[in-house]
Amino acid sequence: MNKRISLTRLSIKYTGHNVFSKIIVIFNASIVLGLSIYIASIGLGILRYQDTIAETNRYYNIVSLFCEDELINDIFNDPQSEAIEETRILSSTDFSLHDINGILFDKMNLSVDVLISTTGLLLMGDERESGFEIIGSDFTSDNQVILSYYMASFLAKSIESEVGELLGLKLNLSDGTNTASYTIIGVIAEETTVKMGIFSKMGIIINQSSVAKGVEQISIQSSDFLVLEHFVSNYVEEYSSQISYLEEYQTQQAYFGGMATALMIMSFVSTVICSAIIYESVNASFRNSLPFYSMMKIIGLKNRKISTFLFIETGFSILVGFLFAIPLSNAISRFINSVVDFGSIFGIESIRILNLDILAIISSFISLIMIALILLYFQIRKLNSISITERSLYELEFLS
Amino acid sequence: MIELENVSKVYNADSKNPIYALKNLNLTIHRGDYLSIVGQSGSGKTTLLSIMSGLLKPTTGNVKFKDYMLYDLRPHQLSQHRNQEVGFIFQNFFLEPKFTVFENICIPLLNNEKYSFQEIETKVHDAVNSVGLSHRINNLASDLSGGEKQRVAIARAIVGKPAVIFADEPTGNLDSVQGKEIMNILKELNDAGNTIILVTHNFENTKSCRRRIELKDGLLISDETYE
Repeated sequence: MNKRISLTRLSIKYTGHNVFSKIIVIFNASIVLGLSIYIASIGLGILRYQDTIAETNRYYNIVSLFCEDELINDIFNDPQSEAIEETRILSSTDFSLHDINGILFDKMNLSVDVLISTTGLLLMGDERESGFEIIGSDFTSDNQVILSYYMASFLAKSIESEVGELLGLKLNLSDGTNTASYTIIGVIAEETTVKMGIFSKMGIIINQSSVAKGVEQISIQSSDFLVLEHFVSNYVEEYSSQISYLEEYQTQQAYFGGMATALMIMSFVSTVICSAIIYESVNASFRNSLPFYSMMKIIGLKNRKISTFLFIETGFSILVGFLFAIPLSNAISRFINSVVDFGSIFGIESIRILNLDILAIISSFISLIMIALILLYFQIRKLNSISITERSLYELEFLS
Repeated sequence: MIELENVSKVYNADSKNPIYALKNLNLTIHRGDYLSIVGQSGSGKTTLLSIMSGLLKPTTGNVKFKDYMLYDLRPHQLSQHRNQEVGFIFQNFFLEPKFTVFENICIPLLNNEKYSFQEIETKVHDAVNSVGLSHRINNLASDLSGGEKQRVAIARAIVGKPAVIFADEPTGNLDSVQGKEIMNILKELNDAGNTIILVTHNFENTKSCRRRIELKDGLLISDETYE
């Protein structure tokens, strides 16, 4: 039974002793590490699915440009037009921007973006057939106004009413000098508001056939954000109220990026805390083992040989800690998911984001290995610095 | 085998109150000696044992072991010296309670890759037989009595067949019966040719020694040889 005796086997046996008290400490560290893995998983999930989140929150990769007729061909001939996935001239007739930016509604006074339709209709036949929808009706005469869904929601909420109940109410618009009254006859459905690439989420459209023509609205969809920026900045920046969508999209992406970064930092801090717990555990174990290590040094064992005990001890703590951490992070994930409604935070089915991420698990493991190496470095330095003379003298004098 | 020439040891040499533990000590220990070192607490006997065994470098003077100067060795050579030329027996045994008797005894041999498992096993069995504990070889050290623990410590000290065995108060933690057994084992080891240096307070223990030196305030005040 003794044929396989070696320092490694003795180290394993040595480490195995008092294993339960060690496991309690390691278990605590594992909870922190599990939290770290969970947090990192969320961070990585946000990074991975931020486009999906943005899309679900209706930040489509669409810009709507208002440009002079003659620029349309330039857009189609632009080298970057190859990256456009879908181009759609929303209305085959003219639109015009109007400089009216004041709205007076039920004693409220605020600025809004106003678009003037000169066609007498907002939705063309093709769009209606594609499922584009207006709650209420399309234009039938001048001095009528159709609201974007978000504007309608805002106004309805301000008068404690419903979107549908806005129909027929009056809206006073002012350009600072003149004021005109418009009747709300329709609300663009929420989905349609987005799909049309309406120039502003909070915009309104009025019907006024007398306005000069010559501007068209073109909607460009591309998953390449830079392509969208290119068209906006090179062609119709000053007319593109849709730039606000881009900005909003950018803001959202920056928000997610920041959130992911914060989560990654939190994860790192958790890993450091976990390391500190394991470090203290290994340190305490080292202190307890000092007489044993000293004895081995006195009887002439090389530091390299004694280090086997440190390797096994630290390796055991790290490995057991990690193995505990995976199911614990899963349990933490399940618990937090059950008490926090992440769906309302991210606006989508959050399950993909909140799943444990294999990359988080691997990176935690790598972090632990790095930490273990640092731990070992300090332990071996301590081992080398044990003064066997003083130690032995202390013991010998103490005993004699 | 061991020659000490004008060996002095001063602790806290740079402080205002230096402690002169040993003063110009000259001593020669021959192969096969059974030397006891006696003296009151603080007389320097532990310092002397440490210097002779390669644990503590003297402040001045030389220590020659066989044909080499002990403290001219590099640290790893000094470790090797302690591992192969010296055996230690401590008053409180310094056994690892989680290990079996076999495991405790074989530790010094694991420093050296040259031993095969069979050689280790043979050497451990020889050592454990010589202290009369072969029936306890697979017991945990924590299950042994004080006397048995010290016998395991002796087996560990002799397993590598060192040139010298240093024993520091080996009976200090034992009752008189167990103490006598241990002293008998040491005597047998000396009779078998081992060189033994014993630090003790107990004058009874010195009766089995061939030679006794006494220290007082760091000075060698007597050196007696018995037949």
